[in-house]
Amino acid sequence: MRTAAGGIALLLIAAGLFRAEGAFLATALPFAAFAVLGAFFPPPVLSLKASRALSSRFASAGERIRVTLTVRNQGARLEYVSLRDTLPEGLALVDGEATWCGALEAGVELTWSYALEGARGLHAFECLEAEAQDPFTTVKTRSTLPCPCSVAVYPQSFAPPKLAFGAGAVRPFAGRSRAKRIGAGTDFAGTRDYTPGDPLKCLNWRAEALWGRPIVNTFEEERAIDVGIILDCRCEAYVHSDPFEAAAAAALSLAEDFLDRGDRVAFLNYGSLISWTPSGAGREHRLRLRMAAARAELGAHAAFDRFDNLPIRIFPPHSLVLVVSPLRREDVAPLRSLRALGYEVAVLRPDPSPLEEPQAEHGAEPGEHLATRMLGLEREVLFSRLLRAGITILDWHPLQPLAALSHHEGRRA
Amino acid sequence: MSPGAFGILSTLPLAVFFVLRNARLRARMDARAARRLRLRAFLFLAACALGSALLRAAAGTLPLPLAWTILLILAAAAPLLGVLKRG
Repeated sequence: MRTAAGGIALLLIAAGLFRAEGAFLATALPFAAFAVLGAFFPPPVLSLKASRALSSRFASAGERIRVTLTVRNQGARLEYVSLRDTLPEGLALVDGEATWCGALEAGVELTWSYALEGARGLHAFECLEAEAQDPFTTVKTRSTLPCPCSVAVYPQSFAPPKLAFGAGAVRPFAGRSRAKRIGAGTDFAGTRDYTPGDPLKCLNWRAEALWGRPIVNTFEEERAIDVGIILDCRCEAYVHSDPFEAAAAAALSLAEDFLDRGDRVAFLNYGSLISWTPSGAGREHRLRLRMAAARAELGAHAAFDRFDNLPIRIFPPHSLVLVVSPLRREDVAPLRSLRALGYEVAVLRPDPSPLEEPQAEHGAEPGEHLATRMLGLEREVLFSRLLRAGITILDWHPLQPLAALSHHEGRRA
Repeated sequence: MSPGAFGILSTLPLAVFFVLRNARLRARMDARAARRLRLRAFLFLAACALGSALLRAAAGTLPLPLAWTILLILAAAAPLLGVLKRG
């Protein structure tokens, strides 16, 4: 505004000179006075200190995060100050305002809050932008108040599938995973002859009536196991980013389900770089896993183009390795060699195509129908090669509930 | 037009500007700051109106080239003063 007033004043003065008319000069006076006014008033001095508090450092996607900002004026009274928080990319304001304007007395502490919602990721808050001005002269002073903070937004968990996984080696603690050996458990394993000392509740009366001798039921032991979850973050494996988001959510849901069962879980992001969360259990480890899932991002690197360079030695021998990946043709050999090394390998394959409802076959274009069929055949070949190697396959379309997932049986010849 | 009316008319655009800005800022300023702003704006406008009226009245008696030259020098020197003052 001061520049505009200065321009008008100069124009009027020029017109006065040109027309030799004193009235123009007199009209220019207020504008010229306003233009030069700011030069004689000192700009306000900003002496502010800011701090930020978040309702939670971990939030699931879609959950509200309340940000509380506290600003203390350590200098003189500010007639008019405007404070604006810079929001990280990926977070959106849902309640309140990220800006505050008004007068700030000396020594006063100001607190205000707002709520955000965001997509999965690790979001960092940097600083608060402050602008003080003298409203009369419009002289401004700008400053940035650092108050760094970060929040990890992890994917929203799905209900996990009711599947029983086992591993070659088990831990000496009780859990809910199959140990593949007879012992105390709930899953029926078989029958055998009664021996003195067997609990009477295990007697199978019908079998005894049939065979004429006492028979007892045996059960499969359930123990805690070591699980390694590998989330495929290679951008070549995904056609679109939506299936990757679904894959990250599924990987975290399975990891949390294993933790709930008492297992030890490790998490590996395999993409442009390798991000490794070592094996562990408990509440703190759950947060570590959530952080790993929040941090996962698609990327490409020539060294990690295929699963050949999986750092497999970081998984305990004979443990369960669960790979969450859309699978590429080149991935079959590394997974088979992983199985040959003695690991129990399971693959959760989210459909890599964009998240759209599958079209009815008769409604699709002929070329599209043929392409879909070829992709289906290629997938069947891929699955049959993995199944022959003893790898468990879970084929999942992200629009379908993860809880309804079942083992892929393959196509019988 | 009398010099007084001329002075008031010449400050009218600035007065409108101050009124609009005060209306915009009033909701976010405390009463003390708003009152101070109103008072300062009123004094400034009054001084401008008076100065403008005096200049209009004197424009007939003063040799115009001299008055313009003084004002031009002031207009040119003011930004320079401001820059020097701010360092």
